[in-house]
Amino acid sequence: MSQAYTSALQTMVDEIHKTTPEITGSFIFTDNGKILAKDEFTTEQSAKKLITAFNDIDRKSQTIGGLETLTIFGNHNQIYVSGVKDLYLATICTRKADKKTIELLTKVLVPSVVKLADQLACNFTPEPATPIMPEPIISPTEPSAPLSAPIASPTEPVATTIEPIAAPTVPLTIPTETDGNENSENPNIESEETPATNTDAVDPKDNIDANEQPISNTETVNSEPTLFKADEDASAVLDIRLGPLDQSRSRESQFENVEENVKGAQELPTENQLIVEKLGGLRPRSDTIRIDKELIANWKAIYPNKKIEKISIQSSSKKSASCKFEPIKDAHYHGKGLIQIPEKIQRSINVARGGLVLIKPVISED
Amino acid sequence: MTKKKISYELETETQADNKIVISSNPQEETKTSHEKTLTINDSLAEIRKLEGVIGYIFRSEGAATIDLNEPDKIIEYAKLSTELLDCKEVIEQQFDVGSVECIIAEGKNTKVLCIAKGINRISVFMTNTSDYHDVMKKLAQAQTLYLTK
Repeated sequence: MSQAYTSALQTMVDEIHKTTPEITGSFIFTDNGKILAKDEFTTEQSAKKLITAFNDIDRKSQTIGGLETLTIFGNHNQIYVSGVKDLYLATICTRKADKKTIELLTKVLVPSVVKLADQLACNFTPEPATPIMPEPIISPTEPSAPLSAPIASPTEPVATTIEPIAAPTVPLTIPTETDGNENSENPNIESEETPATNTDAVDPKDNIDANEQPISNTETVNSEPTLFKADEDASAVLDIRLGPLDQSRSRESQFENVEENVKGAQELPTENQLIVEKLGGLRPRSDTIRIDKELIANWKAIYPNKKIEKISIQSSSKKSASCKFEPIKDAHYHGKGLIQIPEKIQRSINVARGGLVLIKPVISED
Repeated sequence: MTKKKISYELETETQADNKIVISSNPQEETKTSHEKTLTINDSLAEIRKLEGVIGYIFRSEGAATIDLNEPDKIIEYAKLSTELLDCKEVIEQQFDVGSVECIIAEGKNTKVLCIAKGINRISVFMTNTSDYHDVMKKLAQAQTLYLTK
């Protein structure tokens, strides 16, 4: 249960009293008796007593299909305990309190808020990292072929899951016979959406021209960063990356370059960002971490002829370690983008449970 | 001074409609208390006819009347009834509710209304769709009669 979730519940409990002054106390507890939120009017001791009584009744309520709500009418006040998903809301109010208002609060509003808080909590939980195939990175292999977009060289680490490669900002021109040459003469002409970093050298007049020009045969690349994956049409990638300046180059040589670059990129080990989880158990190996078996299978698929015995872990503080790995055994942790790291390794790379680490396989020749 | 010996021999008799009457049969049971029981019993018999009422457990000082549709679940129902009535004291001590008049526990398909008044402890089981206010009214009538007699 995250702190944001409990604070949302606490706020709700506080607001209940403000909304209905007849409610003299309220608190929320879990089915295992933990108080998640409590207003200032309810003491811890009395709340615990009520929870104990409620749990005792719940244990003996199989005959009525499990306890869902409990209402206690006293001379002065009444207590109402109702189930909201996995939680229970206890409300203490006067006998004068409007029944409909109380029911609205406890049966409609509070469950809605709890559901909303649940959804928010779900949205904020990090999605499991899925390995992505290495992207075809095109490096300027020929100095005579100037590429307008900055492209990472193969020697640089490839950020596969975190940062997408910036797409070229040049307006893409597919050379056709009927195409006017105005665009090809001004390769730096950019649309208004182009990021400022790349528009510094552009003459404002050119921009105006670009807006005025008909764009019937011109495809402009969206300024949003785009990921190009290896399985995409190679010719499309070629056209997007190279642009009109490379029209002189033959199509065949361009294809060759792309293929070489794709191969080169595949040589680079993939990186995955995972969330650290403690590796428990009776006798956990101190030198072995556990990751999703799907991730291991993916690596095997990407590097069929390679032997992967170890992985390299890098923490956010740039400390890294190399260690053995095995698939996660506990089904509870499957497919959640988690990595189970023994405490010893956690200390060595300065990372704790819930932290993020980058992992990549250490590839050795078979 | 002579000591009076009271024998608490449990007498159980099964009547028609799965109604079980358990009484300790104390020799000194006065006529007035017998009248009280009868009055509440009459009221309970009327409650039993209400739509959706599964049955009831009525415990007095020396007698218990159980009338339930599912006789095989009598023990479970009795346990639940006891637990509900026991929590009354805890609630009265911890929360400023005054004297607990009744407790209603709702399950997925059944709800139970428990009332503890003096020595009498009544638990009425009914389906979730039935209205417990009708039951309360009937019992209130019985209690009024009980008080006026």
